[in-house]
Amino acid sequence: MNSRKSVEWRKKAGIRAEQGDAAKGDKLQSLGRLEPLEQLESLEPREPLERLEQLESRESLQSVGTLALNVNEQPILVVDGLTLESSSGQKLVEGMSFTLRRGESIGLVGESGSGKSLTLRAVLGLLPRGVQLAAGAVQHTVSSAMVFQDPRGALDPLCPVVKQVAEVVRYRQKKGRREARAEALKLLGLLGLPESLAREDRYPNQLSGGQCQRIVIAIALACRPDILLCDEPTTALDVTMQRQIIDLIATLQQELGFAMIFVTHNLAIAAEMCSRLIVMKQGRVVEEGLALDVLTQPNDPYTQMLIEAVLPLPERAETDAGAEVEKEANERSGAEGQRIAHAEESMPNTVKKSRMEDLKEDSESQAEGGSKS
Amino acid sequence: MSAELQMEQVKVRYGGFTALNHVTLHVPARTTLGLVGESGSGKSTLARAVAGLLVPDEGRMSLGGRPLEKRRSREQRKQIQMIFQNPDASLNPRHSVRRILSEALRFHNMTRGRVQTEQRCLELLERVRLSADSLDKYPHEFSGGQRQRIAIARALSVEPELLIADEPTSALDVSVQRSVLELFREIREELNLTVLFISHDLGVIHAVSDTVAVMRQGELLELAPKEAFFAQPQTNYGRELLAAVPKMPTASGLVR
Repeated sequence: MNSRKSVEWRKKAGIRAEQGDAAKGDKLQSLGRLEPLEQLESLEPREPLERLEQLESRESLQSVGTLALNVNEQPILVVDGLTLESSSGQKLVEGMSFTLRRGESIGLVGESGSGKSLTLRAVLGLLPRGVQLAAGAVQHTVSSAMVFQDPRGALDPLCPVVKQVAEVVRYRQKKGRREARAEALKLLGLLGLPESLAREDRYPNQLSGGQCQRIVIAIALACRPDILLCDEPTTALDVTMQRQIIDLIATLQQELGFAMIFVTHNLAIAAEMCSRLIVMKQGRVVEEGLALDVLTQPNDPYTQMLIEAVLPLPERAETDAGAEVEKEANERSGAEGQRIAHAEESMPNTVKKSRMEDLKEDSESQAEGGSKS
Repeated sequence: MSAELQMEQVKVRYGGFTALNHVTLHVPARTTLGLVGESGSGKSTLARAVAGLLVPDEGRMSLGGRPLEKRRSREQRKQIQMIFQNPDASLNPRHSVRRILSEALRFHNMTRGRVQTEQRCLELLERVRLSADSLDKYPHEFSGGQRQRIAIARALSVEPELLIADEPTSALDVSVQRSVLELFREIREELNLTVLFISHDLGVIHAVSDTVAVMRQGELLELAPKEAFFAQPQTNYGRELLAAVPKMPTASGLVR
C-alpha cells in the first residue's frame, strides 16, 4: 500500500516537474526515443550536429556554451514583466522580462535572495506556497524540466535510483515497465553512471553527490525537455565534481539541443555555460547582455562586485613540468589515435580466420595504408 | 603565544574504512595551512582529530611541543578552537548572542564577573564588526555572514592558539564570503594565530593560506608553499584540481 502511495506521489511530482500539458507530451513522443546520437541527428526539429557545424563556421560567435541561433526563429519562452510577491505583498521579483530561443542558454546570476530561483520556479509553474504571480506572464510553447541544487534532497531516499528514473520515463514517455527500465539505463549510461547499476540498483545514499546530481539530470532529461532549468546544479559539489557536471551539461546540450536557463552565483561558471547573462539584485534586473560584454564591461557596480567575488587564481607558470604533462597528454592521445586507426584497418578482418592469416592480413592492410599515404 | 602543530603518522578508521591514512603534517606557528581535496578526502576528519572531537587509531599529535592525547587538559581544549561550515547548525538558536559568547568565557574562567564578561563580549563583537546591540539578539535575526561572524567571535573569545576553520565560507554568498575572508586575514595578523583552513574552493585557499596541502582518499598527496603550488603543482591530482576551477573570460577571449 505504502509503495503504491509513493508511486502516486512520484507521478504527481513528475507532473509538476514538467510543465507541459498532454499536447506537448504528444509532441515530445513524436521525437522518438532518446537514443544514440546517430538517431538524434535524424530528428527533424533539432539537427544538433548541423547546428554545431554552423556554430563552428560562424566567426562572430560571442561566447561558448550555446548553439548557433537563428534570430528570426520564434522564441520558445517569453517572460514578460514577471512580478512575484509574497502573501504579505512584498515584491520578490519585479518586472522581469526575457525571451529564450531554441538551443540558447541564459545565465541568471545574483546573490541569494535576488529572485533567481523564484524566476525559475515561475517558468516551471512551481511557485512555492505563499508566493503569487502579481503581474506579467510566462508564455511557453514547449516543455521544461528542472535540475535542483541539492541532489540528495531532490531524490527519494527510500527508492532505488534506477527505479526513480524508470518511473519518470514510464510516466512521461508512456512505456511499459521493462521498456522504461531499459530506457532509464540507457539514459544513465549517457550520463556516465556506472554500468553496475543495471545489475544492482542502489539507493541515493549509496552514491556520491556528483552521481546523485547525474541521476537528477537523468530524471530531468527523461521528460525530454526543450528547456532545461538548472538551479545552481553545482553549488553542493566540490571543484572536480563541479567541473564534470558542467562539462556534462554542456555536452548534453550540444547533443540534444535543448535551451537552458542556468542559475548560479558564480560568474565564471555562468560565463562558461551561457551566451547571455542576466544579473539580478533584490528581485530586479540590474544588467543584461551578451556574456562577454557583461563580464568585460560591466555597467553596474553590483556586477563589478560579483566579478570581483570570483577569487582569482594566478596563472600557472609555463615550466618543464607543464610541458611534460602536455607531452604526456599528446603521447596518450597519439597512442589512442593509433589504436583507433588500427581498429579501423582491421575492421574488415572480423570474419573468422586463422590467427596467422589474421596477422598477415593485418600487416598487409597496414602496408596498404602506408602506400596510400 | 602561537604554537606549531605537528602530526605524525596519524591514522583514523571508521569501522573498516580508513578515513585518514598515516598523515604526517607540520604547521609552523603563525602560518595558515590551506587544506584542499574533494569531498570524502579526509579533510574534515583531520580537523576533527586535531580538535579532539575524535580519537585517532594510530599516530601522535602535538601542539607547541606538548602532546595532544586522548584526554586533554582544559588548557589544551582552550588552545584549539573550531569554526564550522554551517553557522545555522553550530549556533544554538535558543541562545542569545550574549549567552553564546559568554558561555565559553565562563567555562574557561576567562573573565570575572558579569561586567567584565559583557565588556569582553562587546570587544569581540567589535572585532568581527557587529554592532553592540547584537548582544541580545538571537541567531535567526542575523544574515548568514553575520552568523558566521558570531561563530568566529565565539572561537576567538577564549584566545586560542590554533584555529580550525572547516569550510567556513562554503555556505555563504559570494560577496559575504569576501568580507569573511577579509576578516580572517585581519584576525590572523592581529592575534598571531596558527590556522588550519579547510576548503574545496581553490580561490579561497589562494586568498588565505601560506602553505597548501592536497588530500585525496585519506592521504596527504602534496604539501607546498602557496606560490609554488599554484604555479606548478607537483602531483597530477593537484594539476587536475587547478584545471577544474572555472575561469573568468578575459577581453582577449575565453580562457578555460
